Amino acid sequence: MEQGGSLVCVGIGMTLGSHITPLARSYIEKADVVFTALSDGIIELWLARMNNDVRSLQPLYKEGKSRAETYRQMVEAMLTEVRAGKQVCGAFYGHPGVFASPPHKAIEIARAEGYRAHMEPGVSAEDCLYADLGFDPGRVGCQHYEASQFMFYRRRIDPSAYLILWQIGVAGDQSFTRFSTSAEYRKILVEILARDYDLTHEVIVYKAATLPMHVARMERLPLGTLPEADIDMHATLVIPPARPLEPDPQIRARLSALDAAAEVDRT
Amino acid sequence: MSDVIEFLERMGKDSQLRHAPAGALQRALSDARMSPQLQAAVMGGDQAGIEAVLGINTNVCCMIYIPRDEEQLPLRRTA
Repeated sequence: MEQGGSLVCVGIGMTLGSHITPLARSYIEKADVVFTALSDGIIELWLARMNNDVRSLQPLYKEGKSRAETYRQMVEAMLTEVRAGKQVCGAFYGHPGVFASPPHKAIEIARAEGYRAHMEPGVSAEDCLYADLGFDPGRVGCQHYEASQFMFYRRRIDPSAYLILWQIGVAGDQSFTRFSTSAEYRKILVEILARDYDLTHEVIVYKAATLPMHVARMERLPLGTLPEADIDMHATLVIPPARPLEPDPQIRARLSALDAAAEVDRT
Repeated sequence: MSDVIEFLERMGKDSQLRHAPAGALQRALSDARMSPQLQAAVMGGDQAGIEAVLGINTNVCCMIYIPRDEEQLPLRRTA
């Protein structure tokens, strides 16, 4: 049986004022309580004006504290109010379901407990990236990994497609307690990437504009210089293709044979 | 007098302001009659300047993801 409380997690997009959807704004304005996890203090202030009960989740972060614990507390904060019968809105910057752990978990638990819960998408950093850098992920394909996960596990990457690594500012942090990792960690990341890319290959450090008075950061540099680059928790690494698409003649021949057979059947 | 948050929202959603040349942006700021300090901060893209005037949180953590969950998923056997 459905319970009285409810949860919706909405994305407000990346840029203040530009990306918030009418529906996301309506959920924020009409909720009994709004929890926020946003990118900037100025954006927190903007959201705080949309509802009389807006509670920032920022105080749950602390350097040295596991972010796993922080995210558990975020989920619990939202669910406590859902269980109290309130209409709860979680407002997250970007898209609430893209590289964002708490919204998915909170919705999963709320549903399991019999509450109405769903997600409304937002304009993500990934969306902004395609517009700012001017490439279509469909052209040669595009791979996305969280940077630390990319380092912890053996992956088979395709250098003929784009490769995008998120959260490079904390790349290699196995404790999940840091707000940044040093050049030494990025040196290991570069070593991993050097298995497939030349150190002179041009990569891009990207950050979407979160305030309308800003432009996106799109800094191009050789892969080998990444450890010394100015990298913070907002930065994303974009690695363009390093080699052309490789045709597969055997598969193409088999497909051509199917085409020919179909042509015979038609005649 | 309008405030800077209100102006930034307008700037974010107004096609005439979002990528406006400096002159047009300066005119809009003058019309909004904000303090000279905030006008200068918006013109210069000085986020820290705005945060200092408003006294708001500058130490915002924007990371909301850890990759560890996947380790807890059972591996699917293929044989």
